[in-house]
Amino acid sequence: MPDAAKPLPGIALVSHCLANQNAKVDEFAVFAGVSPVIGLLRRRGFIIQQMPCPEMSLLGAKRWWQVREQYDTPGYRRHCRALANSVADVLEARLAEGPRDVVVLGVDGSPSSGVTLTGIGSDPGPAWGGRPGEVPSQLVAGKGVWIEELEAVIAARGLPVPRLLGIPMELPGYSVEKSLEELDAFLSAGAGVQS
Amino acid sequence: MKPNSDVRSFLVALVPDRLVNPPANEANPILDALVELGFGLVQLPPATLAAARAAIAIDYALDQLEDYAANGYRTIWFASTATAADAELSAAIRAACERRGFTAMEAIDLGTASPGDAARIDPLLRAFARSAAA
Repeated sequence: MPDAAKPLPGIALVSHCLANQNAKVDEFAVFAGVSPVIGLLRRRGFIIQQMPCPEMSLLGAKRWWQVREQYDTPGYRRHCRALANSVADVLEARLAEGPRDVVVLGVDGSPSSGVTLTGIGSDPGPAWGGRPGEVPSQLVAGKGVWIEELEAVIAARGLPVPRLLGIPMELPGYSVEKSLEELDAFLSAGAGVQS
Repeated sequence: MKPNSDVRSFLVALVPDRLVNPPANEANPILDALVELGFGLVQLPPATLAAARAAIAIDYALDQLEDYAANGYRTIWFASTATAADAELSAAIRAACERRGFTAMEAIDLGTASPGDAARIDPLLRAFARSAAA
């Protein structure tokens, strides 16, 4: 029986690759398997809910690098919504125990999982698509396609609006220590938050 | 562009929710060992999730595991029968693998072991990681 005086632990919906770097597109795995984000969530007592990787589950381990505009298609968005509904199924069941802080941890720079920054083709520059080859890209403010669809599904199902943070592991100058400090502060900011 | 410094392990573990989120105040040496050995995790839904919803989540998890296995990654499933619900979920995974003809995933049977019961699992896990690295 939960202690009514004690807030329930928060729930962290984590982008798949934060617990499984094997899901990264080639050349982007920074850790062997589990990123240190998971250790911090465990120490902070969060319920961890790893989400499926929309890129991996659609295009597999041998997919090419892609930018946001390539994923911004009705079909990929439909795929993301289907995955997001499965995520929401589990979240809904966890929330049945009572209100609590809910956070989404994305991956900044990702065309799918970016929260504050996402990757697009360079402007001006050649468009991404067609014959494979190295094409420049750039980071812009904005969310990835998966995060947009996830938020929309969570809202449509009447579940609490989660707090969002992008882990900057795909950005130049990524510092594990600095990123964990930011995450720790972010988690603390939700202390006492009840959805 | 980033240099090709990818450090992925090519080791992927399909794990029960109770291994990622053990009961409060319980040590979790199996998860600690998985992290230390470089496994990536694919987390299953809680065993108590309604069967129809769990089936969808299982399918998404197996889609990924099947693709990993087809591309040379070692995949291992930690099957749990810790509770009746865990046993049902494990049976559903086994049935889904059979339907797909997905036989490449290895398995360690956690049986009724709790996440804190590493003594039985740790040697198996380390042997798996050693063989994967060979």
